[in-house]
Amino acid sequence: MKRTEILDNYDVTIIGGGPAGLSAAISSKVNGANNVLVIDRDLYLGGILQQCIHPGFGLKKFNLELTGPEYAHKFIKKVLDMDIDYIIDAFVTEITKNNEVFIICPEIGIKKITSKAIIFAMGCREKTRGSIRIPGFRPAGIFTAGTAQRLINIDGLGVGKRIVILGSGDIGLIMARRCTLEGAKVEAVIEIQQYPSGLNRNVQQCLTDFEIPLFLGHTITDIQGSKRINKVVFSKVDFNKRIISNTEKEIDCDTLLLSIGLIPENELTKKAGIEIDSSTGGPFVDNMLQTSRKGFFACGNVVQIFDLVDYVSNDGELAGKSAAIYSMRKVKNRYNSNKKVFIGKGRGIKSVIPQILKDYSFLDKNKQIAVRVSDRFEKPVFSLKNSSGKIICEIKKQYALPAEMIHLNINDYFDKILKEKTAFLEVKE
Amino acid sequence: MDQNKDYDVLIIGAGVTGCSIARELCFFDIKTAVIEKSSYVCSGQSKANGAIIHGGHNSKPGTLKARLNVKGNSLFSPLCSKLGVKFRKTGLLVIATNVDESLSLNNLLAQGQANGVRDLSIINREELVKIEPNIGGDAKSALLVPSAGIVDVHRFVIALAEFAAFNSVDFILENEVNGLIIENTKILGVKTARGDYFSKVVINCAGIDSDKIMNMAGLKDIKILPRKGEYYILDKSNSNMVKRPCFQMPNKNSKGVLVFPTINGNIIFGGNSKLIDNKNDTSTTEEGFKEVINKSSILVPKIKNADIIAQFSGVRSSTENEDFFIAKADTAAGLINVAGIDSPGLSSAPAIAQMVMDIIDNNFIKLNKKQNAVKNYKLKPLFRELQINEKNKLIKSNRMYGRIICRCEEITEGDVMDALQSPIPAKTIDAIKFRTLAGTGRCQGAFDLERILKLVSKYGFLDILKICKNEEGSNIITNYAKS
Amino acid sequence: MPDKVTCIICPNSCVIEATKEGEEISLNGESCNRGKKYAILEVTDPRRIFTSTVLIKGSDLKVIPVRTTRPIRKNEWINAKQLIDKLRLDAPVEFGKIIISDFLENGIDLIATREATKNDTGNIDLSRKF
Repeated sequence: MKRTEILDNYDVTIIGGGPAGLSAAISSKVNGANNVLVIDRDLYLGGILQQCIHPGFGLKKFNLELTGPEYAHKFIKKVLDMDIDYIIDAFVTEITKNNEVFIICPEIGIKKITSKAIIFAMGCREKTRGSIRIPGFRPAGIFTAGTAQRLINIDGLGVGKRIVILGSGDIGLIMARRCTLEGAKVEAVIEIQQYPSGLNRNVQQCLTDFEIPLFLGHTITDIQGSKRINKVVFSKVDFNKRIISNTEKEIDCDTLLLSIGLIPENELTKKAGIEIDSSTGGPFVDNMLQTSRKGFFACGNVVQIFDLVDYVSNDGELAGKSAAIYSMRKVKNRYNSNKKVFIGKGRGIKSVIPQILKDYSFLDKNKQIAVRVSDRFEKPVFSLKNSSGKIICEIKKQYALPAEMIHLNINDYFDKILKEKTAFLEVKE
Repeated sequence: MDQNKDYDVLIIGAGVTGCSIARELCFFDIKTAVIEKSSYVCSGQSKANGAIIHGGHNSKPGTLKARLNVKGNSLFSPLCSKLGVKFRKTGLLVIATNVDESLSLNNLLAQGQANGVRDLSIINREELVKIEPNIGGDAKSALLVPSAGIVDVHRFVIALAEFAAFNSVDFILENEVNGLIIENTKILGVKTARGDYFSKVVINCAGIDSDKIMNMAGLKDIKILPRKGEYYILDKSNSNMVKRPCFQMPNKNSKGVLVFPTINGNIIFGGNSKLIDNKNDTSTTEEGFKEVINKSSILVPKIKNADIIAQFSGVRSSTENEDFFIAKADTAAGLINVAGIDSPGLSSAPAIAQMVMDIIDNNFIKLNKKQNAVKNYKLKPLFRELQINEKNKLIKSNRMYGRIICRCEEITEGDVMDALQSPIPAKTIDAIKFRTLAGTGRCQGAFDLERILKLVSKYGFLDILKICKNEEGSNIITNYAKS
Repeated sequence: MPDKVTCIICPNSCVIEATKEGEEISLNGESCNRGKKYAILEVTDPRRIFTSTVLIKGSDLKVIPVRTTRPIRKNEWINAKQLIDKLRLDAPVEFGKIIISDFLENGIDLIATREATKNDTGNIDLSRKF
């Protein structure tokens, strides 16, 4: 839909045109919303997927091994085919109490639209050097891995020739391979944990395949070079991430890529007065992905950091359905009852989404909660207990890794859980 | 290349001191040039400090520091209005955390009063907690200095420089002075890597190199003792932590560690003072961090758990005699040394400039007011500071104001264009950062770097490979793909 | 000399030792048939899907992402890279277009994974030369 022709009112407005937003838009339309608008700040739809040119997307959802742009293409095509309105090169600067959305873009200036339902799908940003306070100089040549990925894969630019990567999460591993394939020498990947943060397949295919050294249980303690970085100094750390003295090593380099974590991007969410869960950095959401503000929904990385885009798409679908039903008031009674359960985090649990379960009348048959654990567990047992400590249900899994999102199917126990006001989830081996 | 190298006045150093003087000279019929070793103005001490305008309680009565701080403080607000720079009179607090310190506060109060600082008072804990609810439990009492304030120091120095440039002052950047031209005890000019420049008057505002310049004239009055101070910037979600700068009790070597708000809404803690060997060592350290966080969390305990988004450090040009050194040189007539300008150098800058004007007028060149009116120059407000109807008008006139390139701080392409097209074009990433605030937010440039590189390349007519973070050699992009 | 292969078929990530003895391969450490097959393949004919970008002119995109339709031999990546680096495409390029057929091997093509439309404004980017 051409930019200058967006309407003044929409049924569902989605902020962010990446995988979460695109899925949500399609789902909104499919579930009966008439006017749906997607807003994205880039010059194209697809979000971060467009710079993820490597394969590995769509294995769960389509049983295909697609590259990021190919995965995005499927959804963008649908958005175009379904004639969903979208506006690119546009920012949302504010959302008021009256559901007014202020959009700024070069062609239109500042436009105010109203929307019956709003879906946050802004994704996340990367952790920066300052958040881990690496000592040393502040020279040129330090990039977050995602920024470097964009510069290389979208802008066709080179960020450096001798590269050190801090963090063995998937972005760091992918960039180790990518930079090598673009002719740079990746000197090392340095990881503070005693084990790699990313998937094993990526360690194999990005590091081992290219003989790139991986230093587990190490961290960077000094950055040298006053104009452009020329050296990093790194040391061994113990299990508590404390530096072990007299273990310094040095590597000459001209570039440092930081792959040290992702943070949900919730500036707009906070500005809209929505409650944020400090353990995830994202909004509190219920089982239909509605936030603490009625008519406001959230999906994808803006709620919590996902590991697979396939799950992000599912998340978007749920939010889209929820928003459409809300906006069109197609369902007479949205709730079967007033019952509401808060799910808290117990031992071993880093985060639980959704944090709140409600008795919606139009729930999916496969009710799930998404969990991130704080440690590795072999043959874990997840127990959902009520406030007195009594077990409501137990679910066993083969293994649990902090890097992977775990889905617990609570279908069979849902009515039982709803009887409580609060519950908490814990895990042990 | 600069055609004409003959000037009336040459200023060495484009920090707050040099640029303040340059602006003053605009009001007279004086041909001026500022020679700066860095690629942009405000690159030395002026770049890395607390941006605090002191009241003047901290300096010994009778010193230049005391007199010029108080005078400068009174000139700050009107000057900032004229330049379009943000300044806020927040007042400041010096916190006493034990009985001895509480007693010392009285000395500070007396000192301040002797210096002519107005409305000083000592408040007790109850009053302190009312105005600063997050102050630590150890705080017993505090000196309140109402005349102090905070300023956007980078835009302040940039505005001074651009005002001067707009009024025909030449700014010769990326050029280090490596010698003075002196004949028969009279200064004739300076030597630089790019040749000689000539003038009747040379003003040494070279910051941490000011003693080096003095040595070139055989003067040994000053030895700079570089003192490094580290600072840590908190995420804007903490912006209510303190409403005004809160200082630890000062000691011999420094004003003490502090927790303070910046004019743009961040909270910063830091300001230790470590004597270092290498004056170019602007690294931050683990020891420095431990020192400042321990001291700062006594002042404001919430600091311990706050999110840090960035860190920086500045090297101060401290001297043994602990006062400004502002004097004409007898061994080189025409040379005026403005050396050892550490804190309260920023607060004193307008007054230092006036003092230097007097020295020039009384000794070297009769300062005649310009025939033609001085061209007024003010920094354009950033897009985000405008009202919505002004914003829309601006976007209609230039679409680039409608494209946000720094999401965290809502900075637009138009703001970056203003920087590129200013009287002193900002063409490095840091220059643009300080002039537009792009990259100062919580993502620390991860989003806007790419956009800025493209803008500078296209509208600054620079090959993308040549764009630097700050100094020559700090290039960001190393090659084009596939080459 | 045994090769150590970390199996990627399932999250167990078994580390399998594979020793080539002439035509025979003996394995140690595998837990299932799929893992066995993977380990054998990894020692006899290791392959990877190759992805990269190609320079393109006449589009708002500076580079267009490409991939091999099927995995190519692992040790051919340098050849693949060199071939791709030499390519210069002209917009428009449709999604999925075959850039090079039989890329390094019969039956494997190099295709575009993103559409690159023609740049209407005819903007010439002065900052980079082909």
